[in-house]
Amino acid sequence: MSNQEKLEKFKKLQEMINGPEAAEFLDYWDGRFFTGDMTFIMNGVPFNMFFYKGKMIDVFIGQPSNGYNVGLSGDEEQWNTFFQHRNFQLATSVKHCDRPFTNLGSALANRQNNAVIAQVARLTAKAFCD
Amino acid sequence: MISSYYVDVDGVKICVETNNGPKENGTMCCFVSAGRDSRSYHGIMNYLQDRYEVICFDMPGHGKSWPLPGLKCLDNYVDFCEFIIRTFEVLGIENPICLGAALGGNACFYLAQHIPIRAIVSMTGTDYSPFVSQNVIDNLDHPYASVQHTHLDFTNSLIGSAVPQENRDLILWGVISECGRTKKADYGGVYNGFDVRKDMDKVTCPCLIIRGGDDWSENQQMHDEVMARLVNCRYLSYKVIPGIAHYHPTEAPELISDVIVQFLQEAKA
Repeated sequence: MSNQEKLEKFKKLQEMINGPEAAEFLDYWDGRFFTGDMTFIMNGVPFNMFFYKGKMIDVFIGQPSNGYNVGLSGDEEQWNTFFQHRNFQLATSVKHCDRPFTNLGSALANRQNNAVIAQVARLTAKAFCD
Repeated sequence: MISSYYVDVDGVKICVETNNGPKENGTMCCFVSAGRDSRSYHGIMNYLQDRYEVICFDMPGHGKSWPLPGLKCLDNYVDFCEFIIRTFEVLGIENPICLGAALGGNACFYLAQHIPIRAIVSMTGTDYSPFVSQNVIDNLDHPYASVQHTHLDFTNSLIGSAVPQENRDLILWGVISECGRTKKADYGGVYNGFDVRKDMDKVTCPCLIIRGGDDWSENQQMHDEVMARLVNCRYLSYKVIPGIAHYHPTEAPELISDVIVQFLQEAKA
């Protein structure tokens, strides 16, 4: 899949998060508290999503202007593995996963927003594969 | 019927719950996973109330037990397990059947190495939990991170696919009502770095090791290594139960109880 095709998948994700998935994302997964950048780097290419109170305002290819806030970085194989099992905790566990994703941003910011990032990652899998 | 009372252990008020079951077949003492409280075992307590006395006490800073002086919890596995042994002494419990889940499952091995135990049931337990990064531990009790929120997805991911909604809700309520300081002491101090491998040959009582088929946090190798070190255990049984993951006593209390009772009969414990 080309980077442009991946960006289209992220735009589909934007529609999902702001549409049919919004209620669960905002209320159950605490998305309503998330304002700022979330970046998923796929094979070295950053796909940056900007949220305001849980609504995805924008998505583009490139680094956020203020540096990485939260997010994940992995190569093609890591993302494909995650897209299959969709277990965010396993995919980010340095203890249980042979090749875990690398967190972007501070450990604290990722911990604070763990549930939000997990749900965005799962929905990304859905947008890419389902 | 489950009832509770307090005892004084080392000057700390400890809340004890019992199903008031018959003592003739032995007393089961139950130990919870990191940060949780005795409610985790209510299902087993209720299910076995006509067959076994089942007791679960909250460790300092857990559930309705008081914390240690200075608002602290026990934060290393030796102190943690020795406190359990002193609580047994206060309660007059001898030769118990010990049930433990995760951190509690680890504690069972320590107990069996140090005091007479009739049998242990270690659910997702191990004799060795490698240390993880200090960042992970510090963030469990960080003023800017709420463990009730930061661990919701983690807990969710460790509930099995066949667990009924009511049981799932109790497990999730467990994390939603968790105390960060308690969690940090349990997970960061007692669980991570737990290592009783060198004394596993001292475990002689019957052992049942249960693994949840959906538990991604364990692998077969871990259990194989634990069982290989149980060289002097009188009777060893290993069960993998599909559809459950990490919180066995709360996920499937009736099924787990049946497995335990069958094990005790087979082991003649």
